[in-house]
Amino acid sequence: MTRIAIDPITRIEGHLRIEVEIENGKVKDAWSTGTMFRGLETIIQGRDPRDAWLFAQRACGVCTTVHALASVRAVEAALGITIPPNARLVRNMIAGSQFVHDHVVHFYHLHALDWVDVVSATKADPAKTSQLQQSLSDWKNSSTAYFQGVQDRIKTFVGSGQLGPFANGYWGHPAYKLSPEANLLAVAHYLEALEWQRNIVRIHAILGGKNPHPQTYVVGGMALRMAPDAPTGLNTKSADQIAGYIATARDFVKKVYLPDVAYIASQYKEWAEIGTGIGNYMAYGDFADSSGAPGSFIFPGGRIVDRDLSKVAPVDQAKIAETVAHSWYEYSDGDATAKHPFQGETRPKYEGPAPPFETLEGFEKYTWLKAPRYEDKAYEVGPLARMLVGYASGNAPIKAAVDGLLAKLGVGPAALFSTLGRIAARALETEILVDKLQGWLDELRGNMAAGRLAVADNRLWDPASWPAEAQGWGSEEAPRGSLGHWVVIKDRKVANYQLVVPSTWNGSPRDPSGQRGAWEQALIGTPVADPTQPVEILRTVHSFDPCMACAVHVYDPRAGSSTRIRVV
Amino acid sequence: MSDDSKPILVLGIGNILMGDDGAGVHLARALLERVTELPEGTVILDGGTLGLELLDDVEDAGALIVLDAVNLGAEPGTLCVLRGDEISAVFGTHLSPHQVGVADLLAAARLLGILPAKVSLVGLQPRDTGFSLDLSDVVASAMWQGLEAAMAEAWAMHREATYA
Repeated sequence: MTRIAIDPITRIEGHLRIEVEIENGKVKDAWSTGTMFRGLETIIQGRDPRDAWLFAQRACGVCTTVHALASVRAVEAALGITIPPNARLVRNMIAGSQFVHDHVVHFYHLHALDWVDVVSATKADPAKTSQLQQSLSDWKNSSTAYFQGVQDRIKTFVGSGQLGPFANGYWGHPAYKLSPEANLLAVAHYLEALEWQRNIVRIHAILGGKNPHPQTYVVGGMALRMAPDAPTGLNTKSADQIAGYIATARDFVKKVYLPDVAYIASQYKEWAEIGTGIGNYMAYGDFADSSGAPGSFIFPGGRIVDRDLSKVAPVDQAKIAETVAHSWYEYSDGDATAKHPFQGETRPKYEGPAPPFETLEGFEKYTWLKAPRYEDKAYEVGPLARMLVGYASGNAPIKAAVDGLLAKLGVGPAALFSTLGRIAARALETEILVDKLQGWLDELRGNMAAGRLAVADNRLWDPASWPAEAQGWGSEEAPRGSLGHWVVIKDRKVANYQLVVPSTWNGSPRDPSGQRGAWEQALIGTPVADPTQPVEILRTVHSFDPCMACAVHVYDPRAGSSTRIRVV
Repeated sequence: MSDDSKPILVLGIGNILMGDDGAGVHLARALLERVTELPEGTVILDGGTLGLELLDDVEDAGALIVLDAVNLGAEPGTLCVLRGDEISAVFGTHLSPHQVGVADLLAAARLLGILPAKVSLVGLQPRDTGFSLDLSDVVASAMWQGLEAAMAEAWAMHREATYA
């Protein structure tokens, strides 16, 4: 048996360590370690609940905006505030464009290199890449000359020996299966996506004042000027600008991203049987259309248990609880106690070895992530969970999208429970949302033209109007999965604040009964051809789009490589 | 637009919550107070911990000066100035824990063909990068060297653009 540690897992946000045991060329067991303490909860305690979102939003610089939204929703839920329709639409547009940006960037810049061999692209015949492109879609950049130009750029870049973002690939590894021509196609789109992503986030700059970390949230709605002739914010001119960004985004998603995902999936079909994981999936649901009610969610809420798509169980936040039996925290009444977030505690207590260490083997506690469970069961959250819950709920757009892709690949729904299923689900929900963005913008334009300009309800702004005690749950579907903020308000101050983020669900350690978290479980059975080049492990871990809250970035040129793969 | 008609961009990078890691941002802020001593039109930007979000700003620049904490294994507070290929030679093989940091920003800009021809890095060797809003005393007392070096780079770039 070989035990290896990958630390850090790169091409993610933040600090993640994975240790696995390999036997007979397959992963036999796995441990996921968040190596950084977040502690945001303790910063928010004692503050004005109306300010909490400004702090919460800074949990991460990649999942920008998502924590602001969950936070204002938690406080609005506690105080019983219903936001006006314009605020719902603007929030949908900010969150929706965040999804589109995040998913495309994840696929091309954080995940594609697990499947695409950059160096192989230098050996491609650009004429054949051109033919391949034209067979996939009518995307504008499809000529032989175009791909020749891209190939020349890659050759210069690779020839310089300074690979930059391509430096950590396992180029030439036998697990790479795309033809040189397909590799060239994917690298060309990697570069196009770099250009493209600069545009879509401008929607945040217009509606949020800035990107990352929009500044226009407010408890009760949005602090955004909205009028046909408003000098800033949403006006006739900026609405036209946004429409332009949406059109560009749609074009790229439909003609490049989706066809690429379908094509790459068709070349790696064996990965539809790898990386299955827990088999329990949960979505809180989000993106209320028209009425604003949960029943109108574009991504419905619910749970799929044991991969059974014949029924969808409801989600009741009261049944969520966290334990710290294997986490570097202590609970006042025992670490195995299942604590609901309203009663949650954040008391760090590091008991691991002094870093740098070789292994966490033999340590009962091995991560900064807590172990969230729903009725004591582990769940996976994220795009796959959303698409499965929507599919099993009979949601028409989701069902059509999923069935369409399954038919194209010639596989059944069981193929969804896999590493490939997660990648496909992410692409499908991107298309659903990019189609919705225009509709939300049109509604906003209609309201603007009709003089319906309210973007916030401030009747409960004054703390004097609040009850002495209140508590609320702000739920959201963030790009990486179901996100919840829980706030307890006493005497107009935050008495307790807890975040349970998607990567806590997915990256969870074992719980007191020994159930693994989603990443840990999904890695079991993953083939590893060469333990010193574990690209297969990265494929499954990256398929979840891990995001660990982040910080230090001092360069260490002496290290040469700061990712250590240790056979221990 | 030719590089020469675009402004010089001075980009401070780092996390000011993590002590000396924020040296680049502290340098940029200090430089802002002496902006009148820089070539006209010079843009000073606090890049914080952003990565690829800065591509737009890099594209708009005629020349680029990056201010950052750089670990060269030297005495804390040591100043280093790297230019052109020296920068990628140092960072070329490095994997930052974030993976989408400055090295990747520069590499991506180069791949896209938007990296200015003239790029300099002005760095200070950090001592402490734990949680702290303050620089360590050695790095704080080396700040003036970083400032002088950044101004010298800016004027050298300006002269080359004007008289070349």
